Amino acid sequence: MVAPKLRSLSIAVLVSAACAACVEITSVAPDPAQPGDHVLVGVSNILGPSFLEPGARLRFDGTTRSLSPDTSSQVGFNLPAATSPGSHLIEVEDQIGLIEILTVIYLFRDHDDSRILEVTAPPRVVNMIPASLSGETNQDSEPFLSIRPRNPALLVGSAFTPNPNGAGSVTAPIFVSTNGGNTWSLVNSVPSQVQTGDITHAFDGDGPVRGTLYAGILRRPAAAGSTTTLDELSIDDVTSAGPMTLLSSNQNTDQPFVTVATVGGRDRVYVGNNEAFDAAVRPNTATIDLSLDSGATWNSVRLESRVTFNQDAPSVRASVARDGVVYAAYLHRTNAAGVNRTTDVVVARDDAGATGATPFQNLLDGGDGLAGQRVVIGVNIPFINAATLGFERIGSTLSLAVAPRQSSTVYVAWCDRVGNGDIYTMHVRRSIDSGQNWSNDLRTITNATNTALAIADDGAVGFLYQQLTNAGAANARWVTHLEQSRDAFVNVQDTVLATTPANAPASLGLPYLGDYTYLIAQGSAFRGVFSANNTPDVANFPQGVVYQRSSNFTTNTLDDGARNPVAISIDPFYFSVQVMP
Amino acid sequence: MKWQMRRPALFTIALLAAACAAPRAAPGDPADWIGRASFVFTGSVDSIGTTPETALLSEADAVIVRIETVHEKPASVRLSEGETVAVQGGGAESLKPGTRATFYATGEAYGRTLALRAVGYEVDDGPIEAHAAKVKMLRSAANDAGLRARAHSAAAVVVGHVTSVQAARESNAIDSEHDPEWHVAMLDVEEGLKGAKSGENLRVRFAASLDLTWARAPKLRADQRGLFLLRKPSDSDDYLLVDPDDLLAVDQAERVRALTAGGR
Repeated sequence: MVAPKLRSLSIAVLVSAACAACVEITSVAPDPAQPGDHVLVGVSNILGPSFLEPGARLRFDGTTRSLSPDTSSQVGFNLPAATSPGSHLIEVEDQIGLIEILTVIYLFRDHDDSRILEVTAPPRVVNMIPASLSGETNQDSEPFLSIRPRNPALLVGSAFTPNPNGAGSVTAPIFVSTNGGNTWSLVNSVPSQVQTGDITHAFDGDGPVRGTLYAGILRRPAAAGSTTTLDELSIDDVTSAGPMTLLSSNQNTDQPFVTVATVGGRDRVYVGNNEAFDAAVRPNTATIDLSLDSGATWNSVRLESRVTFNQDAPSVRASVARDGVVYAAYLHRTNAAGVNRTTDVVVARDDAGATGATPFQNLLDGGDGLAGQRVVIGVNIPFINAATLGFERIGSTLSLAVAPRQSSTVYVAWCDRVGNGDIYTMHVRRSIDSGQNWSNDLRTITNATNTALAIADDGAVGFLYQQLTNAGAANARWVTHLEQSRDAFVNVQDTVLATTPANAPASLGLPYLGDYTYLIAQGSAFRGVFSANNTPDVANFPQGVVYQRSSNFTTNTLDDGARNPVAISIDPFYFSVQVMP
Repeated sequence: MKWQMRRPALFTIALLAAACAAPRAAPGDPADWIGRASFVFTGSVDSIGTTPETALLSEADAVIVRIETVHEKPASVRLSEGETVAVQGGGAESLKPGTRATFYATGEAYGRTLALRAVGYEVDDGPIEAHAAKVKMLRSAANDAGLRARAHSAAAVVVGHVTSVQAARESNAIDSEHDPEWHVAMLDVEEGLKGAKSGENLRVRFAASLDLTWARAPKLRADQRGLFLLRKPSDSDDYLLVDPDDLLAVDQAERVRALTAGGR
């Protein structure tokens, strides 16, 4: 009689022990999760959480939390706001208890379990105007963005934003964020009277945490006798009041566009620009100002290998891959009549980072054999320095991006007028053989401008642009898109960042939104900037938006922080969107 | 004897106290400060410390001032009574909590709050109305000095009207968004305050471009009347008008005449 009872008891003990020792994660919610979420992890050994032994632990991203055996079956923790998107491991480890020891079952069962938690970051749009400038009504157009690669929490933004101190100021401001773009401050550190003309910038790739920021600006006022003055600057700590250090200065030059690559501890600085106002340089005016020694010495490299009709268009863009291969794109003029400019889109390449004696000569055109492959020949790019696309001018829109880990893949985007009733049409093309051959249009966007391309480490392409819808109508809108693709835009993920009224506010000058925007692929996210009407209306920002300045999303109005109304104006917006899966 | 023995000690203490106390005012002249300041406010030192905005710029402590009255500030800036601002520089760091002063400052960092750099301050417990009146008087004097200097540096100061406007050269010779698009206005002088006489016709070059580089430069049109402070560039026979402060309403003529009377 006893034996069967003992046998039954033994079986029960063994089953219980096996289950008790078999700790496992039964659920994780939410999954995927977003930074800031409270994550609930279901932990069970079937007999219940109270069977967890003292010392049971949960680990996430290197942080260990105790699992109390007295808790419910769910263990919660807050996902830190700084958690990066991607796959993260949740680990649970139990301790060996008395039953396991008695039954020696611990030798055969795991005492830990793990589960992958996918962390995603939702698209984020932030109005960059700080709270203390809630009364500002400037036309903060033509935004730009830099991110410190070694410390992606450190960002610099810029726009046509004046120094709030007013007319007597000898410096212009930049926007600085030290928390990954969540909040921004304005710091007056750029040596230019009140504000700059064009301004772009880029961080170096290594060095101290705060690194070196290089900037190219059109200084105000220009030097005596010059129409424009391009100053190339640097600053070793963008969070300081500066001012930035002057590295080089060129006269009668337009639209500086800064790109930086750090190789062997030295910064290669490429500043695309156009020396159109310099009679000694015309007609071949597309230029890269080049420094290979962290800004100590500079050389102006003429990109144009063909004779132009008077000049190249203002935009000159460079993009550098990790292997040092650098591309440059420019708009070669072949004729002009009225506002129309007959133009070739040209891409040049240097396989050694432009370190040789004759830079940008590695890509020869398959037709005429000259340096610089013509992506397209003879398109019409009207140059109209007046409100044309809504309140925006047109005439020189260009972007270029090389895949950082695959320098044979390069994308270019430009705008022209195709003549089908369009005002300005955007085109995107791709080369997968280092710029020698180019696709047809992968994307064609009617009535759009302000394109910016970037390519993530894993090859996903980001394509930022602003499209005018219902042009000429009372309900015209500027719609800001970030498209992504992994297959040359056969399949596209489109994220609408903003859709804002195009007929308000009134223009205070040109550009209305900008002659360019910017996009950076940083880690697992595309991060960029655009300018738009700043009406605080959730309907205008489909991904949501955060305002620092005083705003009322119920009445769709702004105020100065003391309840005095503030007029709607153009503001810069920062955004981040996770790279598509 | 006992008293005499104490006197040196008390004197020393008094000297030390004087040395340690913050000066009643920063070195300099309020009339100069106001010319460099975009913020003028009266407030009391609340504490010594840092704010996110000052920490952004340096590790140095600032005086945190609670605003009593804002006399002047840029229109774009939010700053009200009861708020606090961080102030560095200009000797303001030596002010003790509780000290009431009028600060003349410029903005350095604009975030959730403000980080300002003092160009000067005056410690004063007087009525706020007196501070306000003084600031108003200083600003008026600074504005007059600025206009006087502007008129003195001009090649010609005239009341006149525009009779015609035309492009200065072929348009689109160079394509740049920043082309000033020079135009020439013919200006009939009604009254010459300096450098020109009534009845003269002057060629005045101005930037017609709407590019933000030039957007604030005066855009002249036919029949436009005003008080013109005209420059004479070395590379042109035309007068030049690009600074918005160089075009004033005609009713400012008497003020300019008074400010420039006697020459200098």
